[in-house]
Amino acid sequence: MTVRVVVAESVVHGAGLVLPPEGTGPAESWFDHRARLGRGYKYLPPACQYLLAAARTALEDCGPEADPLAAAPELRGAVVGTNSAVAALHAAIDETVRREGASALSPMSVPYFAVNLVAGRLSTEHVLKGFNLTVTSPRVAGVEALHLAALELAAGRAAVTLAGAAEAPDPRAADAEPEAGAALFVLRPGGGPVPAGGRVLRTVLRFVPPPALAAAEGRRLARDSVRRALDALHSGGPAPDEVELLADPSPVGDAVADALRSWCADRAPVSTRRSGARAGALTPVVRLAARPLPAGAGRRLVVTASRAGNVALATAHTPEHTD
Amino acid sequence: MRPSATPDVFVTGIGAVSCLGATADAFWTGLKAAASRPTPVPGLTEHVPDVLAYQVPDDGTAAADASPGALGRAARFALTAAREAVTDAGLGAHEVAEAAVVIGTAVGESGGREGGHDGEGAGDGTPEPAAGSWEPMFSVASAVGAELATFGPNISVSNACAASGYALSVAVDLIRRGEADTVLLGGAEGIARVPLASFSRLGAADPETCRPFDAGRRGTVFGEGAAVLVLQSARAAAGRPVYGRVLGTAWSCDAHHPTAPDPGGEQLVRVARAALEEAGRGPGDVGCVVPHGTGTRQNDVVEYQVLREVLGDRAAHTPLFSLKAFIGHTAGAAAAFAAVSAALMVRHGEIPANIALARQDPECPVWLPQDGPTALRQPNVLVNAYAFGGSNFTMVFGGGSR
Amino acid sequence: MPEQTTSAAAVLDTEDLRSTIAEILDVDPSEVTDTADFKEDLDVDSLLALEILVTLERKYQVKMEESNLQLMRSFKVVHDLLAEKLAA
Repeated sequence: MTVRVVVAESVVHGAGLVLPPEGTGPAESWFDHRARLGRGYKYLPPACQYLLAAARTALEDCGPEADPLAAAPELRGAVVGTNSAVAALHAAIDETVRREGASALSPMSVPYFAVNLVAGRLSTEHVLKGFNLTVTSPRVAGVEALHLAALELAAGRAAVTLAGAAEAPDPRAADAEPEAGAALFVLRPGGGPVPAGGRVLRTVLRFVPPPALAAAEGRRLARDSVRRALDALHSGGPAPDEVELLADPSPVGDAVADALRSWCADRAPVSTRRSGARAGALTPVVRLAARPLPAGAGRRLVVTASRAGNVALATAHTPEHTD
Repeated sequence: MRPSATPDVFVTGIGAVSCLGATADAFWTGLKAAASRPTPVPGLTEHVPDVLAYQVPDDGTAAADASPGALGRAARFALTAAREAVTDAGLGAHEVAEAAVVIGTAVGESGGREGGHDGEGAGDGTPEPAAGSWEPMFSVASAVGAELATFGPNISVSNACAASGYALSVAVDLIRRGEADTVLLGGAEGIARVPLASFSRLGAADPETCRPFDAGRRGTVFGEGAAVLVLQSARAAAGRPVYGRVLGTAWSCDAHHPTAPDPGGEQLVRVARAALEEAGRGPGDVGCVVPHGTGTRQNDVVEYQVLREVLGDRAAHTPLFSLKAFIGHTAGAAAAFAAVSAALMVRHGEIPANIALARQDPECPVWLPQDGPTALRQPNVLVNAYAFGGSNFTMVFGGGSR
Repeated sequence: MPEQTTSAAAVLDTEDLRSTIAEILDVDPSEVTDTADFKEDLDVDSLLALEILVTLERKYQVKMEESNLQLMRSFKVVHDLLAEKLAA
């Protein structure tokens, strides 16, 4: 490979997590949009409601002193990753059209067939005029969103960006576990001061074409790709204290697991507690937001691998000295 | 905002699958013929009144293969166009193996998840248990990467009608950062009940044809297909024929209303100006505009006003090429198709005649040459793509000597 | 998605209609006064007005033309329009 691995870095100023309480059943309603958001959010798909609630929490989490969005509206951006935010809506629209025709569709709900309206609502709520981007790669879209947000901040396309993931259960999740909820960060450019309670995110994206894994050469390229990503992610810094692998059971998952374990060697053991097929991109972002992080500026490494080939690697840590 | 001395990004190959045919050559021939009409969608007309679309001709090879793991419709289009673009650019195996893939799509493989056309499926509304593994809706980019065995970054972008525009910016940035030397950049959309029915429900569908800027226009008409461009760094493009360069792109967001566009067009003016600024070009350098031009009553008027504001007194002398009249509104693929059109116009030095309007709307008096081809007087083409939801994109493509 | 259908009533239950519309607008029925202007007072844009129309069509089993939308500016007007259609 002659091209370079790029690590994107950003500083988290606030984080918001909206998740169903432990033990919530799959069909159970757990989010009251009237109570959490107020009036006027009734027609939003649930993933959008979760995202808006997460944004409010993240902005409050930024602390009382400064205005978290202090930047001209045209320097505020949003990047959100999802796989299934509107899967249920598509299924419902399809069924209504088949049984009764398009004239029976609810005009207020239908615009959200365009998945980007889920993230787009953040822009109207918080006057973000810089840009609004929705990414949708299988399993890794949330980390992808963090990655692209950090790069846009580094390029000066924004001074502050809301970034994360939102999901709702996919009615066609098949063997994969459905996801529900949202995780959103308020990000500022990497290299900047880290506020108390904040953290630093570093991300790398990779791709392993599944058919190539049938051959030894393909497996070698995959292993090298993951190792180079891990090296770049940790360059000049300590090895991670916590390592989590979220992988689809698949040749890609196996290849990434092997590369990760051999790279970790006698370092922290690789936890596969949350591995398994999931129908969404939310869990990796939740794990990057989860508190507490390892003590003493230790890093949590979260590696995500989709059977489709997408791989994302991310670390979160709190520097020894914050602002 | 962005550094002025940024590395060049070249377009070295193109591919296209559209209602005009399965290749970029068929696409250009179809643009020159100026005779497109949309057709009724089989299996849908009884549910969605007056539904029409610009459909990719069925050549018999894309048999509806519903077996698990089979490529979806949008992915099949994307792969065909990607292979054509790779061949057109003359990429070697090593370059393909290292390539990044960035593809924009609004609804991905939604069409593949639909229930049977005759209403089969769980009659009580419970979801059908899908056999085997979860098939993500937005799997187009990863499917292309898998089939072509690429190891570069692989990103799926879903900003509705501007998706492949945003994808293009992401691709350009990959090259500028040195993260990729070669990117397969594109957009893909397959016909699906959900977007067609939704357009209809929202009163955004024209029952006859897609006729942007026409006084009688009543909305847009969906189109399917895929367009792919090979983007390369200067190092990788050295020694190859090039179509031109992506000189500048820009993003903005209306943040005005959840579903309605901002009638003032402030963010549309801003995004066009920012793209021109990054490109280092002015109104007088623009040889042609490929507008977003959907055929909805509101868009076309606002876009005319935006062009008048941005191009000033050059506006009346800058021809538009109203692409959606030829291939419909290809949603996530629209910007990529516009970029392919720009590359072809620069290559051929001409703008094909627009499809004749019955009568142009006096409220959007853009210059739409209809009588024959127009010479491309400046080798720079401005492309607009405005996503439903208020995410806006403009690009400046530049041909001519490097 | 629009509500379940009920059988068409020869007499229109005013308060039931009021609470149906309030539910569509996501407000308290007390806010849907007889004369409150949908657009000016209750923030009803064209899409929400269309939602009202579609929901009422299904609930009361009547056909409303989209040209009726322009006229549907207050509860009283909607009530009278619907009562007329049900009586027909």
